[in-house]
Amino acid sequence: MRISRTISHGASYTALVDILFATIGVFVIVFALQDVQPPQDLQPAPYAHLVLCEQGQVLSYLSAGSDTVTSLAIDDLDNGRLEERLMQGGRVLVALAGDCVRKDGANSIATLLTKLETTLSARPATGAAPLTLFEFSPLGQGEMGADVLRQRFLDGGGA
Amino acid sequence: MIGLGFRARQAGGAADSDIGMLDISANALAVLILATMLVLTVASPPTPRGEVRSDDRPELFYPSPLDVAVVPQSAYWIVTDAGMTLLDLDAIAVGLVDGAAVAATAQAEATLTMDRRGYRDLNDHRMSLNLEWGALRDTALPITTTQEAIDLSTLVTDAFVNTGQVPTFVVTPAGTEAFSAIYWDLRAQQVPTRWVPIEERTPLVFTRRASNFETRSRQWQ
Repeated sequence: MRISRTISHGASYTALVDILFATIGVFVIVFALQDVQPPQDLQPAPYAHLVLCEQGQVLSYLSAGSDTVTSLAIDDLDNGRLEERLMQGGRVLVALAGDCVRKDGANSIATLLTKLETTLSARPATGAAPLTLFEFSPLGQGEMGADVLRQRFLDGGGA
Repeated sequence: MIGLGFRARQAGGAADSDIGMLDISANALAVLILATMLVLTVASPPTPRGEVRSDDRPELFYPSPLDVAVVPQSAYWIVTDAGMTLLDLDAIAVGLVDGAAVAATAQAEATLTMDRRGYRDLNDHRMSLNLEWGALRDTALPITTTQEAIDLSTLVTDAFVNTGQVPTFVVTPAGTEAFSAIYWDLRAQQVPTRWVPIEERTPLVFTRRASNFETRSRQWQ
């Protein structure tokens, strides 16, 4: 009677040891996986398009992956020429000098670009025409000027 | 009796061995749990703001959204060719608190419209500010040198870090160029920033209505 009780205690400990080793095994595997796949930080996304409006209302456009600067006229902002390029989707940086936010006629260049943002943001995004996200920034001179911004875009800012 | 005693000692030894193993494995598990907690505590958490998984931050990047449960309080700065001035909305609120429709401060004259014929929410309103541009220029913090721009962006960054206050800049065409230094510095610090251009002699209008929440509007950048 005494023997069988002792044996039964021994068997229950064995089961507990088994569970503990299994738990330790889970920890070890999780640790090993952490070593194999170190997590990457989330980073902000680069731009796909750059639209510059410099002093004197000089407009230009650059696309990621191409160093060709396309000159634009003010009419291109609402005749579909710029819209067609931005329809490809992605993030757009619009840099505006003081001249471009000043109203000369009915609409300033900033207003026309804001309308374009509304048009492209309001449409349903599809695989063929993904969503376009705009950022408007002020354009300065020197280190904050158009040439430096263009170079930063070409040097790896573009997607 | 002898046989029974011998068997009992044998069985007791097996039980001790099991208990010993149990002790070792339990301690090993405790060490692993402690190590896990230490790793979780010491290891740097991933950056919460970002959109793509990458080792390096791009040279020029789109501002990551600020995903917060409560929209942060905003400080309004007026930027002119003379520099930046913090708009004192508290002073205007004090003038309107008794139910007056018009309140005047040194910086602006405010007209509050709460049209109860077309409202949907009780706090729908439209407030139009006629800014006193001369007074704003006189009290502006200048942005003429690089150091002044750095000091001002530090001031705004500290307000965001310490009190969760984010800036909205109302920028005149003449102030755009000087403002660009502050803007790019705040972007590098990832301080959520909004700016809107305004022509002088144009009223600055604040609204709160259903469309503010139902349309895609400019978010904190």
